[in-house]
Amino acid sequence: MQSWPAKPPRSLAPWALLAPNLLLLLLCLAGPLLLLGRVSLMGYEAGHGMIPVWQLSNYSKFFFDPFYRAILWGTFLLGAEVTALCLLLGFPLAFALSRARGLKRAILYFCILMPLLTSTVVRTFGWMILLGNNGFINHTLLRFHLIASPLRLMYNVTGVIIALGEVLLPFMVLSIDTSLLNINPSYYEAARNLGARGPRIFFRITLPHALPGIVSGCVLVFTGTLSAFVTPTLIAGARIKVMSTIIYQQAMALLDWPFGSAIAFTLLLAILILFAATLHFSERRRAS
Amino acid sequence: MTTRGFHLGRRFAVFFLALFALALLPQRSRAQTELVVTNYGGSFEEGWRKSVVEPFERTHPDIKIKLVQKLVFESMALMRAQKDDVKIDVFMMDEVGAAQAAAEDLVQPISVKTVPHLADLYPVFRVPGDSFAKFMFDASVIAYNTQQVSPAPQSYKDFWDAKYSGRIAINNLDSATGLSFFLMLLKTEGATMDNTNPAFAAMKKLKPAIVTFPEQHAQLAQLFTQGDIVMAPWTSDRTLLLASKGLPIAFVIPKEGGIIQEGGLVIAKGTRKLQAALLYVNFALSVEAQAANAKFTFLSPTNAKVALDPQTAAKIPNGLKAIKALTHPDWKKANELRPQWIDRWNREVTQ
Repeated sequence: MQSWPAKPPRSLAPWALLAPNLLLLLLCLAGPLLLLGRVSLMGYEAGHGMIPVWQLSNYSKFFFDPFYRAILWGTFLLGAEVTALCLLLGFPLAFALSRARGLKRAILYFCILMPLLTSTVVRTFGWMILLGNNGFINHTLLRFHLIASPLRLMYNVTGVIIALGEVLLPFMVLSIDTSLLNINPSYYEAARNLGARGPRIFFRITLPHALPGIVSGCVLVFTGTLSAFVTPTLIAGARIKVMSTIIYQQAMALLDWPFGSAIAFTLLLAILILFAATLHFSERRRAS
Repeated sequence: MTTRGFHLGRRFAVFFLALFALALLPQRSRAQTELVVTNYGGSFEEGWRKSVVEPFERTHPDIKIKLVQKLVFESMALMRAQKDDVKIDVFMMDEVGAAQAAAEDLVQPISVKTVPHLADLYPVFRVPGDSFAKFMFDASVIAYNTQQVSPAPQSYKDFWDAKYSGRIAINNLDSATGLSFFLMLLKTEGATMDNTNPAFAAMKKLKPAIVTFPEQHAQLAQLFTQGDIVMAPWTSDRTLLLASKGLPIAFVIPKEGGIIQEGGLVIAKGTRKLQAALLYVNFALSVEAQAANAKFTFLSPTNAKVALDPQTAAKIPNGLKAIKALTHPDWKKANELRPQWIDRWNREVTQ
């Protein structure tokens, strides 16, 4: 049946193409990760340094302590909240973007990418100016007597969700946009010809086809939130503890690299498990 | 078309080669030593450049200083990481970091022979074995907004005054400023390093009044500038630096006293540019460098021979009497207990 010759002879070409990337990953990712794994099994004594032993006590210290477990859950919860916000705001935006053409699309595209064009620190300080108790937002709302006392937007989780939502929104929008653009317009025509209306078309055609984009957008936003460090530190301060800030505290302020590495490894494993599950689920949905 | 493309490509290649050669040229012709040193960055760096780096390079044209920005504990982490292949030659660290580096055998000790200006320091600033050089000090203070807080605060107890509820910040314990505040709190509350319970009890009471627990000087500056807070524990030099930008802010050393916080220069063990590093450290201890540092960045001099101009002398803590009045804590013990305190602080205060 095939119109071209059966399987091409086995060649090394794919491997040769992969080689530079694999080498880079091996050198710059796998190597340091192995090192991190090794350090996470070491001991530490304040004032003296690391003790080169093999032990699991750093991990048990993390998992048997409700304080640290709560931080892990809190981090995931924050990830879920930011993802939900981005999905809620991002889907309509992506829909509009996928429908726009020409100059309008270019302008919209640029506007969506805008948050990524500033450095994290500058952007975060910008948010601090807007969100503070005497910041622009509160100042304006008070001025027009829309609120009686300043809204607490800074130094709590609200500010972190707002600021992270802003910078991660482009990842959600662009992912969904890509999958919306891939929908063949004739599907819509066919649906309409068969008498389907707006909501039905949305749920039977748009949404299922956008699902891969939604999933990858969610994955990008979720990981982006989990690995964010500057924004939670500057916006929330020490009151809100997430995995990245306690890793920093252990590694940089307490110099306890072994425990810091163990926390970092725990976060990595938790993300990997979550991803594997999500991808497995979405692949199965697609297959069925 | 193809020939033209070829020519264009070749021309570009020649151009880039020439550019590349040009980039290499000056380095070859000048046999300069490049000394890589850290500093705290930001406004501090501006002052350090003017007071130390530029005059040093003028005196030693064969040495070029490369300034990189590192916070104390980042520096410590870096010293550990570069142990076998030193990339940064001189680190700027506080007492806590430097003592830790010395304990881990990461420092190149100095002596009066190699760094003659060490002999000019107040004896209190010499460290055992001269493992590093203390080039400045500042005091832990209460910084306050002069328009919003009057009369000026007198005691650390003033943070508990209901008037200031929701208008104060307390640095997180994992920062140097936070640690100094905590040590003063032990004194104020009649606690000790071994029994910190009264201090934690007091902090639990203060918790609802605190806007946030900053970690960096830039955050405190932002909080004061925006008017989100009117009072916070800080350091003498950083308060004056912010005041010099025109903000209505001043500091007091409250009646319980203040902690002396010292800045040290640490030479990395195994540096390949030891001679240049020693010259640099010696220069930072000199009268002219320290006087300029006091003037530009409000760092109090450790060199006993520095004579400050009256204006600067009136602003910053200086001289033997001021040094003696400040508290010199047992940093070694504080360092060993710090992880425990931070752990408890994480659970009871910032949670």
